[in-house]
Amino acid sequence: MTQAAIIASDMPPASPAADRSGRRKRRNALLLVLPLLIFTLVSFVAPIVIMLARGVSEPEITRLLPLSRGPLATWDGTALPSDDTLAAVIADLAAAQRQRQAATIAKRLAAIRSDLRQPLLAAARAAATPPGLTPEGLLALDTVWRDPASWRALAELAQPFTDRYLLQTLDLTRNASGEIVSVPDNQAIFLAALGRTFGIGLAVTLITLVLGYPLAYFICQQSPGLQRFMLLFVLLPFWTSVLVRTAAWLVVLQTNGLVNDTLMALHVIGEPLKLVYTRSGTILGMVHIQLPFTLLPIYSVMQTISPVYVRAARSLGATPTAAFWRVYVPQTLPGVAAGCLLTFILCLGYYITPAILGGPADQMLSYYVAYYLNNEINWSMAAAVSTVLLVLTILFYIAYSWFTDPTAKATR
Amino acid sequence: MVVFDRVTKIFGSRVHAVHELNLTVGRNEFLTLLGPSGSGKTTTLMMLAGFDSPSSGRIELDGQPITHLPPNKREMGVVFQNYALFPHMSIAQNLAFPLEARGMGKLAIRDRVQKSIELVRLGDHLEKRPGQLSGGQQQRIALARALIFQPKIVLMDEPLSALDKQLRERMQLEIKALQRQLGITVIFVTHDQSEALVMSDRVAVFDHGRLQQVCDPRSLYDKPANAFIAGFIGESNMLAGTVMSCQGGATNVSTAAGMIAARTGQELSVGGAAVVSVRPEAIRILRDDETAANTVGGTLQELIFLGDHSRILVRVGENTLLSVKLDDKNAAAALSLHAPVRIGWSDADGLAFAANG
Repeated sequence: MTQAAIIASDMPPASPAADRSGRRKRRNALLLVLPLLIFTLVSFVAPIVIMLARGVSEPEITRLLPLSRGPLATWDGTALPSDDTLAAVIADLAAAQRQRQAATIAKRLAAIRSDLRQPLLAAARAAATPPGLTPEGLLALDTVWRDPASWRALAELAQPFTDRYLLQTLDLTRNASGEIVSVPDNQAIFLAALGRTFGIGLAVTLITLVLGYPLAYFICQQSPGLQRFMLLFVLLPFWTSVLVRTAAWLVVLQTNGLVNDTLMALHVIGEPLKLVYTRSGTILGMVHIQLPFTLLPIYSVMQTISPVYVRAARSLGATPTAAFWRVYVPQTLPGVAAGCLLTFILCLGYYITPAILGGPADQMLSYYVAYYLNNEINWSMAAAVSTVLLVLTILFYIAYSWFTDPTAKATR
Repeated sequence: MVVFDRVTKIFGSRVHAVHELNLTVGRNEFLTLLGPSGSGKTTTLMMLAGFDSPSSGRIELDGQPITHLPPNKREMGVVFQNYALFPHMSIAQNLAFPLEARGMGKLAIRDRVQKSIELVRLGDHLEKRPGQLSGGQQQRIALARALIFQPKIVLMDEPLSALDKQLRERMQLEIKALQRQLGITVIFVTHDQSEALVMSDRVAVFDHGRLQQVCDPRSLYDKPANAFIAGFIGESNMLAGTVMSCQGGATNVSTAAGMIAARTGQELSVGGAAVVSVRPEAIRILRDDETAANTVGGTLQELIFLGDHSRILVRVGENTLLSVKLDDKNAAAALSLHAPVRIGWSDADGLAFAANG
């Protein structure tokens, strides 16, 4: 064999020609996935980015203050704004009033300072009514307009980016001097909802694990034909919509439902148990829906574990219990982690089941997203709550992958 | 040391995986259970290890019945086909497992693990996971783990079948040496007859759930008990025919290659169907003036060069080819294909068996 031939056979192909053909292959592969890439960007990434952006901005308000947002942003915030600035505000308010949008500004402004709603509406009306309003006339209209703090509130509303919604979702706000402080206890709802979301998610995950693990093990011990048959029953609930299943639980659990009627007829209980509109009802419904999600990853991992390991453990002197816990269970942990993570993350986003089966004190974060979208029409607040949910989910996923990464384990 | 007493294992309703097995294994013996797949050898081993229980019959260890003893109380080391090292534990943890199961102290365990890993010369790999070792290394660790708790007996279920040929041959000698050095009893299952011949003190040949013959490798090769063993162990030419006479130790069988004289391998009746088994190395090419007890004429069908020796295939009847081993690797060069050739062998080199096993 010649020297060149030895080198060629020992080294990976690195000739320019081979490199070129490799690059062409990669480019062709990229072209093939391009449609999917575009679809993902348009339908998944872009909406998320837009939604997240809404959490820190309010384009529908800044759009209504096109003339005044510049001067208000440069205003020093101590003395009253200059007459030019006031004139710009008056022009914006007059335009908003003519578009019937003055109430939108007033509502958002009230969220920052509630006593400014009526003065703003009055100012907008006066600005749009001929002969209009002069800066002096505006200051004379209401005493609040002679207070720089009111103008600071309006300036805050007019700025393009804001952290007040994100702060609010963490039960925080800015005080008069701009420092971040906790909101008064009677307004604090989000941290509690966050804790509740995690608590319910954790409870549902643990219950599905305790129920699902033995079932997965049991199914794995059956003959292949029986396994398929049993899995069919595990998957059966997937064929019905979540809404229908949750409504069915309502029928079963309500005050005059199946469970209470049966227990009453058997004289087990004297009066109906409160099973729906409670935390336990919520958890029950969620466990029912989530059980397959926890079970299937565990089952698929269990299927790959050869019975020879338990046999080996037994032959080495381990009792059946020791062989199960020390040899079998550790090998199923990747499936347990995957199943639990899947269920936990899905639980964080639950909306329908707590809304139907839970009471007012059982609502999770998603409820507030829907509430701000449907009832308050406050997209920015809904976006801020979604942002918190998304960030927490991502953090959880990072923690999970760190714990289950075999390379990380080897170095620990 | 181990006694199987009329042990039968029936799977389902009719399949006799093992039928009426009587077998005794001596102390410090290396016994191989040999047979094709489905012959019952692995079932026998699993019953001995306690993973399966016999449908009937009893198994004794050192005079104690163990037929229904759970596997963890049998004190038998088992080496499995794919090693069955626990993938989530390090090598050290794998080796410590049987000692921890016996409640041994931490220091004593560390000491024993160290000695054991040195026995198989893998001292640098204690902290690795099984997946980071090569097949041969995993095999040695599995062996060390089966030996570390000083079991009375070590069972091996085709432990070398996943290794390549060279490594397999080296491990055969290594296991055999270890068995001699430690003075342990080994029961070894394989379907590879050469492995059985290399390693064993005695070989037990299984077919269709029945024990066919138990004896040392040399007797197995020289005096197979029936046609199945003659064909399974080593290589044999099988000439089918009809028994013409059977007197004392001598039998004459009429075959496609003419009348063949052979030793009587098992009880035969005149007029019954029989096969004569002749080893390729027992047949030689006859010179024109030479004769032998059995002389057969044919045409040379094939010349095969095998490095240290040659082999020729001689067509002696319409459907009958005889394989002849030529020790002189150059002898074949003097022959030409399709030429007539005379071959012969002594009547002591043929063994006549009943045709149906």
